[in-house]
Amino acid sequence: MFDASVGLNHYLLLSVLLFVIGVAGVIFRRNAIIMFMSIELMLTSVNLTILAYSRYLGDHTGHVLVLFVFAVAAAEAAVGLAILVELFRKRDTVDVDRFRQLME
Amino acid sequence: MSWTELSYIAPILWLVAGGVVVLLLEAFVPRRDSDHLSIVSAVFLVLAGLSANTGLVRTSQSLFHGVLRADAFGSFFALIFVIIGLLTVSLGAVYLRRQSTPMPEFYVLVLFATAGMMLLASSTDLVSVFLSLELMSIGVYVLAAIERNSSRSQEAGFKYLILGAFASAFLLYGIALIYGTTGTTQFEVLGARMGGNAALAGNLVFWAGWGLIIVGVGFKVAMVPFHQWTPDVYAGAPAPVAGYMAAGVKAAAFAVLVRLIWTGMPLLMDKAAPLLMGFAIVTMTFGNIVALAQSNLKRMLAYSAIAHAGYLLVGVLAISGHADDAATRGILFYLAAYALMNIGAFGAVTFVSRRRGERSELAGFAGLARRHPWVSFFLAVCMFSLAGVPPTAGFWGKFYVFGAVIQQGMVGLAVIALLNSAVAAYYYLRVVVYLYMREPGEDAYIGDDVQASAAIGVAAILLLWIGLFPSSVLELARLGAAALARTF
Repeated sequence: MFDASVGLNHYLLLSVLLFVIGVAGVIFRRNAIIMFMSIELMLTSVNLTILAYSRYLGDHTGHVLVLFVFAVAAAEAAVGLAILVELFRKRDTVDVDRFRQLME
Repeated sequence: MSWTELSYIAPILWLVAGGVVVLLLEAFVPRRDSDHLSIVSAVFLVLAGLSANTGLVRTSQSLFHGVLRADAFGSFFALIFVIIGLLTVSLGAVYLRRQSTPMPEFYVLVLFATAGMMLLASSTDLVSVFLSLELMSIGVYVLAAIERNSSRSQEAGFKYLILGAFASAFLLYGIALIYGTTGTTQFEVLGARMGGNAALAGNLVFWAGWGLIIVGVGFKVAMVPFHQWTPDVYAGAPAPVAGYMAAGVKAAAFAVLVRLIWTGMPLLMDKAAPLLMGFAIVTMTFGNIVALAQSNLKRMLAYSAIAHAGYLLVGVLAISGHADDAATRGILFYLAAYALMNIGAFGAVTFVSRRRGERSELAGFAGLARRHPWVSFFLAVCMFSLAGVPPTAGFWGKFYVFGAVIQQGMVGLAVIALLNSAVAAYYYLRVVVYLYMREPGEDAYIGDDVQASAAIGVAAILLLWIGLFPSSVLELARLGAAALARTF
């Protein structure tokens, strides 16, 4: 099904790696834009898992799911960036450590 | 796809149609008349409620090749969501009237997000679970941030979105792993493949998938340790939205969690029970202890929402998988009561709030009973119900859930939950003490809005009515639980 040198596990490992990088980005980076990018990276790595499985299983559900994930990720990014722009206008920063008005 | 199938999802179609209609009308109706749009939205919600009730209750029909299921479980939740939606729209209208620029988008988002909740409660496929969860969540992200002049609201929306998107990535990864290891996303097929499959029972990737799904759902229900967003978001979002989130999002997330647990019975429960038990105990204890120290009603309700997620998880642990399952019935009843009391309590904050800034400090509620005896009475009913004092719906919710837990032989867990409820009574009743027994201070709150007090009144009267006559709601909850038993 795949090239002899690249099998299902390679795809899965790569996507675990990308997912972990994304998680680390959300947790350790304080720039809101980079946090968004990291979330996109997480979703993309999941897409890779789904597609690898879908191909491996010979089943089309995964393909459809990936298309839906694209759409959802786009909607989430649109809403997120819109809120961030509003927030930036008021606070003049995208550093999430400065978004702590609610914690007081 | 056939007309019959479409007629089964009529409530969802009404809501989506309503959302589109209001969105279009908004372009023509002058902004200062946007109040009328709340009436249009309410009409569509009522239509959705009427169509949820007719003919659906006793059927259990798989729709669109197993993506959704029309059954009593879904229609029970559809009715809850319609009531939540109606109360939110009416409190939202009060809130929007006070804004300098009214934002009729509020109604559109409530309609779409409510449609997402209904879809979530009837989803029987992991793909539709993900999509409806996002339909609900994205709407609520925007609702939390809807107050454009308030950087607090913006911050709440932003935090909810970042953490929500983060959690849905985990949920999606879980879906991917379950799909990969079982080759299906449909609940029924999944349940069949899990039954007596020794290879699957030992497959770590498969269980990692379930774990990630529980993380994703746990975030939405504010389960400790995935709760960090809750206090900030509830405190920053406008009060009607916070009530909508507390009531609707939690009910929808628990609906899908219960369906998933039923799907994976009994294998999933064997594996997940110790973990879920730990989460349940930590969640309710943490929520209650931190809530004791809160001096702001909205923050207190946020921690109480965490504690209630713990009680509900205790109920989830007691799901037995037998026909006529007492725990599922209890959870459905509890969620109906919980939705009403939260909307009522957040409604009181809407009632006393002003154009500039929300007012939710507990001290401001001191002596409210002298100026607003009715609103104070309604708020007190909500507080008694949250504390689980009879004769309110909250008492019966706790009674049925904890009763099912004891039936399952988990007496220790029931005792911990009861001790927690006793601790919780302190901070709920403190609100009542403020209302009735404290002298009003200089900056004591006053409200003037009839519509807001009517909405709180409806919630409180329903709580009392369900508390005095629990049998009708219990019968609906029993039908809902029985529908699950028939499917799986």
